[in-house]
Amino acid sequence: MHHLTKTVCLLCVAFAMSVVTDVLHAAEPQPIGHWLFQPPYATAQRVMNRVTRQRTDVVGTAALWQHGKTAALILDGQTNEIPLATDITKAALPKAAFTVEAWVRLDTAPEWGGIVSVIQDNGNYEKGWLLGSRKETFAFALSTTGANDGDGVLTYLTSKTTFKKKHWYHVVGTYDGKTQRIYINGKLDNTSTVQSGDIYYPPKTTFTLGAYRDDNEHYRINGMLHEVVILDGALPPEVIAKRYAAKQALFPEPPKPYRVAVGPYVTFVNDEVVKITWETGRPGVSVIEYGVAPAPGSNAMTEKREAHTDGTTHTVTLHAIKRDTEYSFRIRAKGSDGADLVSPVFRFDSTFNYLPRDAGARALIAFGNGGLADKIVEQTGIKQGYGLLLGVTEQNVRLAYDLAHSTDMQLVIVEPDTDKVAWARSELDGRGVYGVRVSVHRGSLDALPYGPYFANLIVAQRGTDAPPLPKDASKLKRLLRPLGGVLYVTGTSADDANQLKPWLDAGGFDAKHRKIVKSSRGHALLYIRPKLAGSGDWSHQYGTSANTACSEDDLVTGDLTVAWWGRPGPRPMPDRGARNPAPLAAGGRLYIQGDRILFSLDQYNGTILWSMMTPSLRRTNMPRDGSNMAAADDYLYIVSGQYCEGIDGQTGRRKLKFRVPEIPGTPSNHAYDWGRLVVHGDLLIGTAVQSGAAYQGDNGEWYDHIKPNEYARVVGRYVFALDRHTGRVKWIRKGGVLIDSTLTVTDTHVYYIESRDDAAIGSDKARMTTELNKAQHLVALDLSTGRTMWDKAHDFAPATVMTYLTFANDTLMVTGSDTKRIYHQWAFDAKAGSTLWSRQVKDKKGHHGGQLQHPVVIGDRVFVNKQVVGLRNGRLLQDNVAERRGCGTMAASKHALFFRHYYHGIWDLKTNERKQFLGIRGGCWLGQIPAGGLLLAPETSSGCSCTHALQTSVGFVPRVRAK
Amino acid sequence: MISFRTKRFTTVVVAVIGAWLGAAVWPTPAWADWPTYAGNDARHNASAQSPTMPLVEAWTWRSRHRPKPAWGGPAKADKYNKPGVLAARVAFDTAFHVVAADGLVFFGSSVDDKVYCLDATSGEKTWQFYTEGPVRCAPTIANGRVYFGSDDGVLYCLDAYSGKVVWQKRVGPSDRRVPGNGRVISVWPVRTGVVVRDGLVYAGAGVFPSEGVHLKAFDANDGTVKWHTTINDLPIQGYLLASPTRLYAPTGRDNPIVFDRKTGQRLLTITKSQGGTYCLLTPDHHLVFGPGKTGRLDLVEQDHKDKLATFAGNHMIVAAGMSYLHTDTQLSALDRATYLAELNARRPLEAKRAALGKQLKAVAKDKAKADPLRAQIAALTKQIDTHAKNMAACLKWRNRCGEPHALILAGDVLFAGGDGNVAAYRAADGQRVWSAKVEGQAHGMAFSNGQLWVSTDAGTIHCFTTSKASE
Repeated sequence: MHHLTKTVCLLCVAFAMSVVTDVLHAAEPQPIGHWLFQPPYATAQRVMNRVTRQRTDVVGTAALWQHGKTAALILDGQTNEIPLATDITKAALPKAAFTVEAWVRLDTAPEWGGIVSVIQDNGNYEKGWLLGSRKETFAFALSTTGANDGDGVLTYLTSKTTFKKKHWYHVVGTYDGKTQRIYINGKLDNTSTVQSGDIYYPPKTTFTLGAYRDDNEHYRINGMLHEVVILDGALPPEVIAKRYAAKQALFPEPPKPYRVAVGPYVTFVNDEVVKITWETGRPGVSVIEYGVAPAPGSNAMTEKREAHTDGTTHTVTLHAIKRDTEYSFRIRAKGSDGADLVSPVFRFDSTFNYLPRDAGARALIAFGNGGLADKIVEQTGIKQGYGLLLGVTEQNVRLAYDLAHSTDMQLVIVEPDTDKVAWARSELDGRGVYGVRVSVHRGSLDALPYGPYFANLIVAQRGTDAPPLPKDASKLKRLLRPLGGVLYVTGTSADDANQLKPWLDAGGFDAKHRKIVKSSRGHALLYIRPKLAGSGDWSHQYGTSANTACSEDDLVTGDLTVAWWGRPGPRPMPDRGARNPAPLAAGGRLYIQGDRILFSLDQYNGTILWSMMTPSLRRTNMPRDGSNMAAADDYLYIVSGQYCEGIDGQTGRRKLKFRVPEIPGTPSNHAYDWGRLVVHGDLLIGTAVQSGAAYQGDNGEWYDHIKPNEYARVVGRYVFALDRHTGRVKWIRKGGVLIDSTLTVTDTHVYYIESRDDAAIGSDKARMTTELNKAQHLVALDLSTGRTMWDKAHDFAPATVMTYLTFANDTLMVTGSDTKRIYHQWAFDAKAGSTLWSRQVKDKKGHHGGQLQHPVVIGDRVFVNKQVVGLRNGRLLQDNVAERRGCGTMAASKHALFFRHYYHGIWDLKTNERKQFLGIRGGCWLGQIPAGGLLLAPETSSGCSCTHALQTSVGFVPRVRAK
Repeated sequence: MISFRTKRFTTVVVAVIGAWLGAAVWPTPAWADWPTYAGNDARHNASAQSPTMPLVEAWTWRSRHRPKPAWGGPAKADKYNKPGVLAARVAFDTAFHVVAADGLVFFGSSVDDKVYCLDATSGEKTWQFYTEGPVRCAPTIANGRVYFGSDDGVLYCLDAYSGKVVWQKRVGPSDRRVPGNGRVISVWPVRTGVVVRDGLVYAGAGVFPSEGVHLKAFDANDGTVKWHTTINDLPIQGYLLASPTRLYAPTGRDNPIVFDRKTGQRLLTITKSQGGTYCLLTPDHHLVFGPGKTGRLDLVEQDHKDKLATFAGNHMIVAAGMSYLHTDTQLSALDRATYLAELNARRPLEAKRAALGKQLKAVAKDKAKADPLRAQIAALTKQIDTHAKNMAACLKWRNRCGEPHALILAGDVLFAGGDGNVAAYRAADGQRVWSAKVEGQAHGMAFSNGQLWVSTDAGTIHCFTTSKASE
């Protein structure tokens, strides 16, 4: 060995030993394993056991946190772990008395967590030991031969001290052969004498750091690990106190939080530049720290930028952003007392830049004729989507080139003549736009092969050098996008317009929606396609504000074919399991909530109109809450903490911002977040909920277990209505504690269920379980005034696992299930509140959310729990509904129900047949929505372990319209 | 102590070698050209020719726009199962993959819808051909013709020297076109790399099983359809593979389908694996494919549905006597022959031990009967451990490799594609012997006549050649 290397190594060993031994003496327990997550003993990829010198790889992409000379491994809770041994018979483990010590920071408090795990806890089979956490306490679990009942007994000794998230703790478990102890920050915290004798190990398990892992459970921790030591005996209390004291000063207390009121929002300016915007309650100077970081909190925040502050609005523009790279950022500022304020760590990912490919700089020698393109954009307002240009003419080729430059459109020129096609391709290719922005298809104008609704703009040309219009105008119209798609016929004189009239009339281009406008060269005829008659919207989580899970769309049948497909794919989407908010569709746009990224798509062709990364936008467990989105024709409304923001659906501009209104005469209610969100007419109806009420679902939660921490329902403290354009408060109604998931709004009423029990009202909980079960009332308010129209005391307590309220045909229906998986339904006359019927049925599916299904109401029929019943009388109409796989719930048009089966599933009501789109599936709640004449199925299966072939967003159109 | 990674590797290799018992004699590769993706229609990614090192860059071709793959990346995490970082299972068009024949280089573009033919020596464009949609897979060259498909739904046959159309056929049932990921393309895009063999051209079209997915065999001369099979449960995408009797079609995240090459009859679909479009056929016609959910390759014997073995890795080269495995961080080589002998010896011992284990379970409480069984099991375990030790020694070398994106073998050199570079490793001992910079991530490589072409996700094709040739 080289002399210098040898010297360094000896120094390393000396240093390593000094840390462990400075408070140990020869007669005291000695380390048999020691992992210090600090250079030179660890990198972000590998750690060395300082006792055995064995090196172990860190699973996943991790990072080291550094504070002065102290370092720690950042564990993301998803991928990171240090599996030390899969064959524990060969691992150096204590046999009887021992100590396990850790310096750890936990950033979340899931039900189970493991710092060091060598355990099997499968039913009654309980062996090994663990140092970890249970919810907000630390836990030291142990199984010994002395307590063995045949297949082992684990004692989970939990700390009496609850831990604060993101704070450092010294956690020690000791066992001396008779007594099990847990120490927190140098002090004895809890003791048990249940166990005695040797440790009772399982024959097989994984010895791992950073996770609780056995044959049927695997929970990785989210936080940081600085050090783990295992010693061959129980350390005495005074030594533990000394060891704590020796290191405690190395770990900083977390700084005070910098509170972001709205946002932050991240948008792309171009491929290398992003803009981050956020708002605060008070004005002040702030700085963004950012960098490429594989894990939150890592020191990779290498860059700083001061924010431009305009009052309480802050903006930072970041340059030189790398492609396909995830960045972390946080905001720093000084408080009024001079203290450091730091925001949570947020992320954005440059993979999610959905700007269209740049058409490049304009050619030096002018090619195009910007006049016509500019005029078309000015007169139609169309800048995105697809344009179809009929015939290769000089005008059309130039127009395509100009539109490619001046808009974000993708353009297709169609032309029957081979030579003209070749010329156009050559011209456009030479200017760098062929394929990437403009295509030239060879084909007859009378046999256009395109699917329905795909074109936002169709340009036809009149004149001597123009190709003849397609003979059958209806075949052109079918290609035009409803709700604003434009046919633009250039060179149309007044006489010509008259000549075109029969052609237009025959094609269904009704006169009401067409006009003659001045164009760059003479006049043009312009036709704007209106909304499809009979089409419906999906404006709320369950279709409408009345929660019927039916869009009333009269066009979407059970016989469908692909209309478009594309992004978003699985990467920006949240994991499929957490019962995520449904996509929405209104005004011809499809809104998709990804994992803290929001998309607006043209629902007829899948064009991404805008996307916005919103690190704070997250809500899950829809059966126990309501969506954080609601859509009107013009705006998408989203919840951002205490605010509701109105986003222009077409442009993505955040134009409106309303705060949860305060109740006059009461102390400030600033602590309330915006809960439920309903749009109806010109009103925005909301509820005020305790801050932090929303489930986040970031750790693989499925919310399928019948456990209180999963079925606790988000509760509203009061309900209110605002003008959705101005934010003017219309009314506020405060009574009991309302179950947010029941808020139902009709043309005339607001309905919900509330508990008026004093204990519930007096509780400060954001989610409740049995507290809600007393003094329950079904309440009807007047929509416009908020006055009580009727109020019915009723016991809905059996609906504990979830509680839904649905309105249709003057009937209010409450649906819920209990902890024994029994469905309970009650129906009331909506006008007076009188009871119509009630029924109880066992969950007929028995797995995968069978007990959580939201009812679907189509006309007078209710579909739930594999049965069909009459809405007004509760009579069983059908009891032989076929098995439906998967964990989702159903959505419906007037003609079919849509759901996740093995793949995207359809129940065709016309044929009573179940069908599937094989190869593609949705997630674990409501992901396929019939609206606007299409079935819209954004990718929602993200993260699914299953091998379905495709993960993409798809629009399906009735087959009859695709022909 | 054996590390976690080493243990897994060892375990899977043990199983795999079992599959090669009685394997056919390795054919000596003699490809002067690289006429199709991965060199041949078994997708071996291997050339018998060795490069003369070091290589220097001869020319570079840059696309005006980066490639636009058909699909984005995988989900960021499976938060429920927490298997670790998820691999990209559908990745066949990340770069403009190159094929070469007769002094010419060919590739298709997913962004400007063209197929290019360049002079292999100079990199000068010889001809280009426009289609009406993205071209996602590299062409196949056979008998002076270029065969490829496009997202416009058409299979093209061009003259290799002029780029003129010899024939073209729509593969799907109609010309219906809809928006597909930002482009107006066929509902039945041709997203398979075509196989040309025995006078037939094999190609598939279609993404959505509900629309019907079509696999066809065409006469290579005139495009006459020889057989046509419709699939209604899976898509076909990625590079087709052929054995003398079988045609294999990757499907994406799902598992490959196997067809009778002569008739088109669907024979079986692989089950219980985790999908992927990276595929190769071993000389004895076992299918290896992946990368599955987290970067593993499954091996399935011919006419079997279930995998026989699993490798930790993203790429594999199967060469005479040796196998090379490529993970995200490592490159390794295994002496197959020795391993095989050890495995042969170990297998019956394991079977015997398992049988004794069952007997022991039945008499565990009867000490008189159980103790002799325990002694026998202990003895067998000792023997098995000895064989395991010997097998571990068959791992000839393993080296860290920081170039995870692609792997090919050229004679005695392995080339690995990295992020901004390409590197060469000696096949004999895994030593890194050469490296060169490239623009972007190197996802595709081809080697022919002493030239190495590297295709990147930036849309760049780098040609490296011997310094002598360059001079």
